[in-house]
Amino acid sequence: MNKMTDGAAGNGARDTIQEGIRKIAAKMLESGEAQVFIGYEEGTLPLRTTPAFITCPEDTVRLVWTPFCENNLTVYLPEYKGRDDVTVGLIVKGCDVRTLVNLILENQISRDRVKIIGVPCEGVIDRAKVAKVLGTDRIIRDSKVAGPSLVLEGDGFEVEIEIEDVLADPCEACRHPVPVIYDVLAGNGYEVSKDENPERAYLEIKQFVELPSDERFSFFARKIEECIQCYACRQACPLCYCPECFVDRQTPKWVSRWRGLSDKILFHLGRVLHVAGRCVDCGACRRACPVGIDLRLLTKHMEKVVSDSFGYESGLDLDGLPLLATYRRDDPDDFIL
Amino acid sequence: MEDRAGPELFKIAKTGLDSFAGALKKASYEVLAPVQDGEATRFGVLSDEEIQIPRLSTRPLKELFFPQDEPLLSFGCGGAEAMSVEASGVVASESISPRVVLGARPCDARSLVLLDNVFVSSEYRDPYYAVRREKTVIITFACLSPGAACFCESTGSGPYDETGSDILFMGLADSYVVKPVSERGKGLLKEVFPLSEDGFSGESCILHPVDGEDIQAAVDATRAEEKLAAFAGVPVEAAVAALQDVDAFDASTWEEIYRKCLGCAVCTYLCPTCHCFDIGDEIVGASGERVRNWDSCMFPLFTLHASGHNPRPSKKERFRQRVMHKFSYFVENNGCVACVGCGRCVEACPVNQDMRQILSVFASRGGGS
Ligand code: SF4
Ligand code: SF4
Ligand code: SF4
Ligand code: SF4
Repeated sequence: MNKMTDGAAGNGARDTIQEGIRKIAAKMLESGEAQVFIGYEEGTLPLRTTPAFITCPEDTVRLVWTPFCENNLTVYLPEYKGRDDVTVGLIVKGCDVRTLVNLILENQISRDRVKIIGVPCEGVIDRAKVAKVLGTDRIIRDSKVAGPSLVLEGDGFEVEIEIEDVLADPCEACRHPVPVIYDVLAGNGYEVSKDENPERAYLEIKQFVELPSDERFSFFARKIEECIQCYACRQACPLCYCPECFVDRQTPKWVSRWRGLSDKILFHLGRVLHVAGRCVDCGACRRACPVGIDLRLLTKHMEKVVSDSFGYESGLDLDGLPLLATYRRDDPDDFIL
Repeated sequence: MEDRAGPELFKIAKTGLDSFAGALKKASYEVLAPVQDGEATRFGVLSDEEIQIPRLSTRPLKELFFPQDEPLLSFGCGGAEAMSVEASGVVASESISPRVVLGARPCDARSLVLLDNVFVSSEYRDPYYAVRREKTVIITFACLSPGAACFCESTGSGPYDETGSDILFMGLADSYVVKPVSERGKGLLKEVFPLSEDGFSGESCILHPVDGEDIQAAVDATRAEEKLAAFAGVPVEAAVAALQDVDAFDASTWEEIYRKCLGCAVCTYLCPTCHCFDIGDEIVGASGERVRNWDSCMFPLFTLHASGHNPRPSKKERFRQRVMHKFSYFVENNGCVACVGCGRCVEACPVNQDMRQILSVFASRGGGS
């Protein structure tokens, strides 16, 4: 679990980071180093922030930094591909920066077209977990962050819960909370602790992976049956940037919109294979799913196969090569059925 | 009518809901209610489980009438000359048994009346949709507490809106007041809970006739003004006026608001009034089905021409279409907005794109900006 080490993960640290982000962003826009800045602003619902695209330095006062900054903003970068007239400034967390590294390695954006404000991250909250703790039909009207806790107000109740208890799954076992590359680190000097045990991250999927294959398939099929093919998981993933996804191909048509189970399975298996060796477990896909399907069972397992087979962790090295761009004669192949 | 006028209102204990559902089933109705599907809730057949009415189901009521995928007809394409076509979809929808929705919310019930404009208008009658509508009685539960994104009141609906409902349940402390709204609703209650000379007997006992005036006062007490305000506050009318302005299509405001949209189909698929579809053939071997599927204006494929040209090339044009269809074109065609303020699109959007905010921006800036 990540925690600000300056005591009780205080708002002090968060406020300093937020102040830092505003100042740096304003400076970037003023000096013309960046033409647009992508950050987070107050959302319209409790527990939420929303992506903000800012072009005027004065508007940077809208930027916020809270444990509600859940979106991975690098998803917007491929839209600027080839735009030599625009440099994009943006805020990245420890996981977001790793999708950014991959986007740079995969030539979707060039390093000198982004100005990166890195934030040492103590994790973002999982709204579904909050709802579970609170009871799904209790309506939250207001949410505040107070040090290590979350204060939730609703009709006739005020509840305080520990942020630590409602952190998103990827954050609970995050090993890279401090961005691996950045131009400026907001809140420099604050350190966040990280989980050193690489196995911990796989504990949640262990149960699923170790099921006998027929049971595993029926569990998987049951979950995938719930999918409504809205493709929010794909759209929220920074690495799903193909201008035409294989499911949208018409000639030939690979995947039908007809909600047959096999079509849905094809999409999910196709997608997870397409992010193999690239996925960084930012959790954006799972968070986007409107029906709450735990897509991490797939992505996390794929990450483990990659790590066990090739000792490769994605998105950490800007000077390296993407896993799928390397080949050695002795590459293991025992994961191939 | 010769008939002795039955009581206008009834009361049922909150603990009596399962018996109520049981009585409907016994009278051979299929009972459709909110059911759990993984982490989400949607309308499905209520089997033996206890009925639970969530504040608002994750998935909209429209699925029961306009399912996400629906075979329209089937065909054989075996031999060179043997091409057979069967209206299997119409046959299947006609064999649907009479059903009762138990636990709709007023926004969802209203959405059906909006969808009727599209599927059973004076010009067209979609047989698949029409049959389902004809065979379904809608029992709605009024809302006592708005969700964080509800704005039904602003769209002409409201937590006690009766539009589209056949029977309305209104919650008091430990009971519901049951109000038959339509002739159909009255008929259903009469049929399933027959009233004898000395009032209800047997199973019918779960329903108690009540004095209209007293109870109306009790219901009104739950409708405190300040609560209603929470369902309102979005300037829909002003936004519609702005969006109907000829310049609205090219307003620079779109440039600003579309940016964060990811281009998924969460908002359209979960919206109870979005109704766009695509039709495709699913062929396996020598036979196939022609299937109608939900489609979304947020997908590039929605408007992609065979030539490769796409008249809505970016998320900007696609997002504009969603807003304009609901708040300008639909109004022009049908005289009302295609939104019931359920807030599903607001709550489920992965990036918190908020329709209420967009409407407020247009209302304050006007369409030409
Ligand atoms: S697949 Fe999911 S977890 Fe992996 S990078 Fe994409 S959005 Fe993030
Ligand atoms: S976000 Fe969820 S429902 Fe939508 S396509 Fe992905 S898994 Fe399916
Ligand atoms: S507004 Fe939100 S839900 Fe709708 S397409 Fe855009 S990102 Fe998806
Ligand atoms: S547009 Fe949004 S608020 Fe309006 S009916 Fe559709 S989902 Fe509900």
